[in-house]
Amino acid sequence: MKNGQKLVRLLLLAPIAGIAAGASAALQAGEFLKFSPVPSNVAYALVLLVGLSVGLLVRGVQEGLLTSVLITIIGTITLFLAIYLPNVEIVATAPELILRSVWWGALSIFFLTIIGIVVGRILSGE
Amino acid sequence: MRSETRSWRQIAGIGLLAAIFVLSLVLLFLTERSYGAFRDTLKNIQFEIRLTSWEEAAPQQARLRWQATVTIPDLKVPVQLELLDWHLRSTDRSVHLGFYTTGEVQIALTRTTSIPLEALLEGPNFEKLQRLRAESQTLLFDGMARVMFRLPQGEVRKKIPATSTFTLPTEEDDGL
Repeated sequence: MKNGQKLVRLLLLAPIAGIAAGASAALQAGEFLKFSPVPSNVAYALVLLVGLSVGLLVRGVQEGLLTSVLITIIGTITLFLAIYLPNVEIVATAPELILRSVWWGALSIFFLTIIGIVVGRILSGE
Repeated sequence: MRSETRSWRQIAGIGLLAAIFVLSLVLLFLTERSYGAFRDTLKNIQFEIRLTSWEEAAPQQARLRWQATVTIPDLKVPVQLELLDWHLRSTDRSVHLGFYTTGEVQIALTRTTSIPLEALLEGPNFEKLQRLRAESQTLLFDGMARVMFRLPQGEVRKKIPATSTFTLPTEEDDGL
């Protein structure tokens, strides 16, 4: 029963948090930053808050780590699509431009989510 | 007491996650829309370069004047332009007649902006020009412009090509 609940929680949390983290990370990615209504530190703060909110919902270190990995994977896919779709022609000629942004975004999502989850667990009294 | 804490935490966690989910998607939508408008503007910038006059200013010296017309059909953000430099060549690119520049002059663009350009060809370039003129060869204006978009979070600079072909009137045309 407990494992079933954990799985449902994971399957619900990871996609929502992943999409939110990926969309937030896209706000500071490469040229997008110039067009974003918010500066880059707000984009990073949003990713951190995603981690914090997840940290308030998960239970245990193992579940927190697993959720952050899933958030990073889904967030990276979201980030890739957010940058790739409006730049299809550019990516065809210079793929390194988008890959650099995606790589940096994935690292940011992973580490900021982990930090957020740890803070969330501390606030929960774990 | 423990279950009360847990439910408070869950409500806070779900509320925060839902708020960030909506906020991040709204911000991403606004960013993508603004970026899409910029890319459309960039794609629709048109250069039309027309030779307006040609004269032999002195022996072994020719002065060519063009009118560059920059058209931006859908101008939404302030744009400035810098015509970096341009080369004159024969259309098949086998003969090079030198490169010229307007200097670091920045021009604020409107929907349609006309920029006068001038080149003074001397010495060997003048001789090559005369030869191409006698052969009635078409010439190529091969330039590069830098457009600078002023955006809320900074400036975006893009280089775009500005090319055009033109033919100089031959001596027979001059005589008519």
